[in-house]
Amino acid sequence: MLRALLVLVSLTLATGAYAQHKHGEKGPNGGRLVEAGDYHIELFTRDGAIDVNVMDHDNKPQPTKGYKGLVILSVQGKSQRIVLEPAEPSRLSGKAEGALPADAKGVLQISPPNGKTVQARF
Amino acid sequence: MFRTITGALIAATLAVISATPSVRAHEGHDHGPETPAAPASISPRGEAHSDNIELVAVAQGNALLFYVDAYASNAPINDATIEIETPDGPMTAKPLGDGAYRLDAPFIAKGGHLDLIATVSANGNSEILPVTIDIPSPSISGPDNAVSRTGVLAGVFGPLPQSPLFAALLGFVLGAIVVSVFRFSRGKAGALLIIGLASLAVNDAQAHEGHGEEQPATIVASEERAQRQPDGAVFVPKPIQRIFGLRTIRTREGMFQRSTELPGRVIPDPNASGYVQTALGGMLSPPRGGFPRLGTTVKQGDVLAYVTPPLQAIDVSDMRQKQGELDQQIAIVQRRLARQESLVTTGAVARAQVEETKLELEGLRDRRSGLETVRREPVPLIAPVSGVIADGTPVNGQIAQSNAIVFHIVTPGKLWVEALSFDVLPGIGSASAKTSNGQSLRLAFRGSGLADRSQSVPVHFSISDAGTHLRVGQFVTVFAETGEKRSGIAAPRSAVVRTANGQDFVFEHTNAERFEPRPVRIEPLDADRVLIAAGLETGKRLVVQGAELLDHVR
Repeated sequence: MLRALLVLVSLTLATGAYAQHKHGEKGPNGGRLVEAGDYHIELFTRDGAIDVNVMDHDNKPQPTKGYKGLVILSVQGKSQRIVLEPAEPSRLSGKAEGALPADAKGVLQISPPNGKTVQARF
Repeated sequence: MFRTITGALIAATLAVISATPSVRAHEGHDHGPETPAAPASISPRGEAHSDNIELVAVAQGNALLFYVDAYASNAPINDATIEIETPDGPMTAKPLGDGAYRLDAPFIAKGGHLDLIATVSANGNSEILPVTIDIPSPSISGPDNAVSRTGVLAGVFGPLPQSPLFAALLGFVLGAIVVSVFRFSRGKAGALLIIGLASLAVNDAQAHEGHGEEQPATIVASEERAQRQPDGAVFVPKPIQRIFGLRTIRTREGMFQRSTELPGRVIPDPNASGYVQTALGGMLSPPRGGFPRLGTTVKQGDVLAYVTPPLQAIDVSDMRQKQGELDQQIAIVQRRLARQESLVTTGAVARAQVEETKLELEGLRDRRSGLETVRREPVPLIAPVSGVIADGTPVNGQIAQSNAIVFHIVTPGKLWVEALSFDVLPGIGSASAKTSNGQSLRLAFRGSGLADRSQSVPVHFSISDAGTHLRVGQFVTVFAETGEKRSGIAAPRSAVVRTANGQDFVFEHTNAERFEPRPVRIEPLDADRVLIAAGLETGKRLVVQGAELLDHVR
């Protein structure tokens, strides 16, 4: 009985130390991985455009039909607002002004059709 | 009995497991540092920060108020432009002054989870910050709803504190009851099952209460005031932070020279001050223009007063006698001179003899007139240095004793501090002093005595930046840097708050509107700063202004 109790107590303490994500992690396709609420977002910045892959927590692509997205980026001290539209089955894309640096900082907002908007900083 | 306690402990552990947020959270994910909940009576709010900017958004009525501050110093930023990405598209907030900005937001009326993206542009730099505000919907209201949905248990325990400790307590009690009941039937399995169910029920009650969207709390009239949280932290809304004038610094650990505290007194610089004393006792009389008053600037060589030595009765008779004697001698010598002058033509008297007699007569006359002047002429008292009259209130006609100090002249910019040290200080680097009203002075070491003076050694410092506000004789506390170096965080004295039990505390700015007291061990560093030797890490935000006000928040 006492042993069972000890096991339970140690279990309680152990659950506190669960695995954590690190910053700057790469996605399955080599893009920047950003976590936003219920989604994993893989971010690609190209010359004049931005693409995001929407995935679930197991990195499985999610259909993005009916999704809306918005990215606000800070490029060289100026902010840029980019609206994202569904492009491929699990991708949202938007056009940007000029080249975007690969490590641009900003905020991403994804609005699924169910209305539960999520946002993340990257 | 043992079994009862063990069973109860198991139930308590299960309850804690199910109530611990880390277990209920999505596994394998770090959702970033959780923002501790604001008090229930406060308006719905959200916060975000970057390395430079701290942003707080508050929903008030049909408007959103934004407070923008510098992240490290907590100083309001007034000249920022804030563009907000709202559900109705991008909007710009209007500045209200004092780091506050307002945005009319009709879309918040329906409540719910609000995701905003704020672009704050200040000083040619723009920062993009996501802010989330959970606004309770005004349509669903009433605790009746809540009770019917979450069941009786939640209704009963809902308002109670929702901490793992509480869950453990509840589990323990339930477990104890259940095990006592089942002891007789020896139905261990059944007992455990019910223990589990009990802990799940606790969890259920918590889970439902925790969700703002499903079970919104009724909107309480918002009262923006600072309040002490149950965990000891102080919640201060941004407008109140402005009133308190709270400022912070980023802590940085470093090596600092230790300093020793010594009691000291302000003394005049011995080379720039002086006494005006009378060598002779006598009656004081003013110079032309009167005695210099206190605070008057005098120059070296100025005549400050005259002393007229009095003539005692015995001296007077003595002088009369002397006068008579001299007068008599003068008369005799005059006669002799007249006789000799008449004879010198005949050659009976030598010319040299006549000249001698003349000189004798002159000498006697001089002595006679000297006696007269001593009686009349007063002695001038002269300023030995230039400076200001610091002390001395002579009165016309006052009789001063010999060696009496008539004036004390001090040069205001040139003051020293004499401190008393119980040990001989090996090598004193720089030093500073603090007056009783909190002014700090820079000191330069001048020397220390070797002779023991009431079990301590006098140490002299000159004040480098003595203004006109210092008094001679004023007590000061001297902080002298000695050889030892210590590592720690240097913080202004104003950052440290001493509580009633004598414990030293500082306040750490943990979240935008949350300040947590941290017990620290402090050591003296210098007049303005203390060294935090333990209790605070580097890179934290430490309240350096307004800490006393935070401490008084209840």
